[in-house]
Amino acid sequence: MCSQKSLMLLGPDAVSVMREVVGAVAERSFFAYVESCSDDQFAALARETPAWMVATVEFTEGACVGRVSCMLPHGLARALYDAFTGRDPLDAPPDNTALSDLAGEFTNIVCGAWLTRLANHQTFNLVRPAVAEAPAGWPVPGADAQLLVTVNDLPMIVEVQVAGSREPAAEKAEV
Amino acid sequence: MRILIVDDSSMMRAMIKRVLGLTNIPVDDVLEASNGAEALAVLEANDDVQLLLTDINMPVMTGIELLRELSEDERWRHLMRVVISTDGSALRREEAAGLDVRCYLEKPFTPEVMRDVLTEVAHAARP
Repeated sequence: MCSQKSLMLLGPDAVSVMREVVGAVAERSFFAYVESCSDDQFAALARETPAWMVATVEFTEGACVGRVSCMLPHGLARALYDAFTGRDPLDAPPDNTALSDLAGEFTNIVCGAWLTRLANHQTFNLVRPAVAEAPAGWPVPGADAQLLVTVNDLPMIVEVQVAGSREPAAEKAEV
Repeated sequence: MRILIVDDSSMMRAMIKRVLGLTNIPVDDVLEASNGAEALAVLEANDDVQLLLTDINMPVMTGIELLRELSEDERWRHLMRVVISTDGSALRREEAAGLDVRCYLEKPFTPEVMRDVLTEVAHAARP
């Protein structure tokens, strides 16, 4: 079972903290601005962005396991890459490997900062990010565990899933 | 000054190198490693490294495991250690402090914050 402190990951503050964390990460390290986004706004933006990537970081915190995923369009990944690396416009644009690295690092920082904020008195471990192209029909906004935002006016979904225990057949809860 | 950057993200290593260029630190050479085990191999081959910048969560060997190895080896007594990590928990910071870490820089940070931290640490690292 999760410890009492770990249950904070499942509480009502978790989503609001995630919103703050995404804003802080985007602003400080990627020089980007983040705004909340309604389902309708998101759907309109998503229609204009056909190619998405999904970066996932799995974590363990006490007895809890979970994962944070960031789903973002390729165009946003390129913009964040340029901001993070200070790429000269005359330099070659980032290839898919570089964009995957970017998406993974963004998600890694978001996940770590979120866990630090929510459970400061416990350490955690993060698994190296896994990045993949989003499947056709993705994203599907509206799930409880999702945070819809725009980053530099481009859509992004941040999704959190937390399991109750590392033991098998544990009850699964979503933020 | 010779510096070793340890992070499993090549992009993060590149960013740190870029920030080093924004400081007045006289950098002779910047070495890189993608995990703690690689870092130990680099240090074995380059025993004049003065400043270590390391992440915590890495595959193969974590930053904490790396720091533990270094703290148990007198050869690295001179090595100034800075942690750069997403894990800003109080426990992790205490753990790092017990392993001779001079400074703990929590992600996300602005390049200016990193620049100022590295400048201060580098001044202290000079013989």
